[in-house]
Amino acid sequence: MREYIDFYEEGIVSSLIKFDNVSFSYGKNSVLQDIDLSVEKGEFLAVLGYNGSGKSTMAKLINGILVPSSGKVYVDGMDTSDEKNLSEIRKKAGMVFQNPDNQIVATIVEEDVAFAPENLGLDPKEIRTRVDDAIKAVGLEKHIKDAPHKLSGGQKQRVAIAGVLAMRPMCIILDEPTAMLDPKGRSLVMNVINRLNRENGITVVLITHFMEEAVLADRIIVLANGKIAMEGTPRTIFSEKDKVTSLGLEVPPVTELAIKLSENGIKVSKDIIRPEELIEAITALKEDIH
Amino acid sequence: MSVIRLENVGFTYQKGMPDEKTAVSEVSLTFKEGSFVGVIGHTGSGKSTLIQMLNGLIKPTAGSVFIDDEDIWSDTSKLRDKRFKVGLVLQYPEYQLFEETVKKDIAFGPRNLGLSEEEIEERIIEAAGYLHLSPELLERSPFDLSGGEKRRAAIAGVLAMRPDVLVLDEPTAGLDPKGRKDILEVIDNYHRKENKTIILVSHSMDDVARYADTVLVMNSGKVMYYDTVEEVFKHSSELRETGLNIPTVTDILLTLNERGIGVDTDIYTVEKAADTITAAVKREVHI
Repeated sequence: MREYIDFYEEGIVSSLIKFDNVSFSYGKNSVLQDIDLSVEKGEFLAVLGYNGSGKSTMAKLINGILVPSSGKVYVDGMDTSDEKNLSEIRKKAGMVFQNPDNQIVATIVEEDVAFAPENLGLDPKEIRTRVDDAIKAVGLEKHIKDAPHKLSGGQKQRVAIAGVLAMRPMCIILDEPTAMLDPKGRSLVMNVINRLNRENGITVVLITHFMEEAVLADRIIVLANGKIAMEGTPRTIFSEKDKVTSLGLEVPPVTELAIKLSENGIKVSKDIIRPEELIEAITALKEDIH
Repeated sequence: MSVIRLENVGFTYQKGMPDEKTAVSEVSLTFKEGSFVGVIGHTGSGKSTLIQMLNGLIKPTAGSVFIDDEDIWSDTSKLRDKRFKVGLVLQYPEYQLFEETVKKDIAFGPRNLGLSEEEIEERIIEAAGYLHLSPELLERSPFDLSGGEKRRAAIAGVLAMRPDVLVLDEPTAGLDPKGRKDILEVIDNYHRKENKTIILVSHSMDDVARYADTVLVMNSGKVMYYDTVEEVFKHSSELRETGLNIPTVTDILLTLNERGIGVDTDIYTVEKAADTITAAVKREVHI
């Protein structure tokens, strides 16, 4: 509690998540070193990095599944290493993992979504409202009575997100939520995540290997060797193609195309990150003349 | 060199039970020698069930599977030999690593073929070479490897069988971009050097467009398209309707074309897209 008050006094509480000089090791194996990071309320942060760069460890540090070997992680001002804070922290920061099958506990969609609020001991009416709202937010109203195992991977992953939403969290941390999905499932899940952030103001921390998903974020951090190797808006990150590639990542195909065009002498910006931008830029070249 | 031919192949889970579910039906096609086939389709389209029938891992509930013109289920005593010709890399193959060292794990298949120790050693070296597994790594426990290394070790175990047909079910799922590219380059290299048939299940149209020469599109358990890359991606609107997409650059080219910019649209790679846009812009804008 003491630390909570200190945080308010220091006036840094607007950061929903704060890593203060955080290191983490499994035995002798150092995974993260000296991480300083603040995630603001309402922000959409994407975390990129090759397999083994420390991304998942970072996610687990946020909601106290892991605690730092040194340094502190705060969620809404609460220290994750203080066990008394954990249940409150997990209400505020919910996690969604890669494999939807490992996250579903009940045999009917609405029961699965109700699982966490029931454990909070909420009033049944309140639970009903939360479950309905959560299921609506992920667009699964038609499947409320279905058995989760009959749903597609993308639908299951949206059930998992609804389960987290029913906790009314301030923040959702998603660890490669679309890795096992097909393109359609992936885009539906990303639409839900994007909408929760833009319309409901939920802070999103998205760990992903898909650059097209990272483009949707406000800010990207790239982890490498347990440290933050790059940080910036999607546009600034992807404009540094050589650096991005050297960190085991790639730029979105549209950025690659824009770079090639620019090298061919076509006047388009090299930091284009969305297909619409490139189409506009090329169409504009034509209209300039006519 | 083996050719796989499917004749009216179907598979129904829980056949005869109230909850029976048909995953694949009426599939007739031939996988040509030396071709590189990309298999696409959304979750539940029957892709994984189909490829598990290619080496007899599951038995079709209808129709026949032929390898080298022999029905693999007509004489089950021969099934084992047929099965060795078609190497199957399942999803998340690293979960199937089990030996003390990577080397022993790779040796498992060749040993089951009854090869001599020298031949086994040769197979290990060859497979490790393709998958860029160093001699030092071969002596390590598979459980001490990174995700990408484990995946490569698991694929090496299948390559060491020297299959005529290599079938891979989403071999890059869950890997980072570099890991994805490394695995695809390995497969491409194996295909070019050995001229073996590759059947690659993938959710990435960009990858399929880059590496495959033929595309098989599965939809609701049936073959929707089975043709060259060029022919299949011409059906962009039909593909989109079934929840699939087309390569990013092709999508951009189609939109530019709609807006009256004369670019070629039968293009699937960044390099060629840049060329056609450059040509169109220079032609239509600067003159």
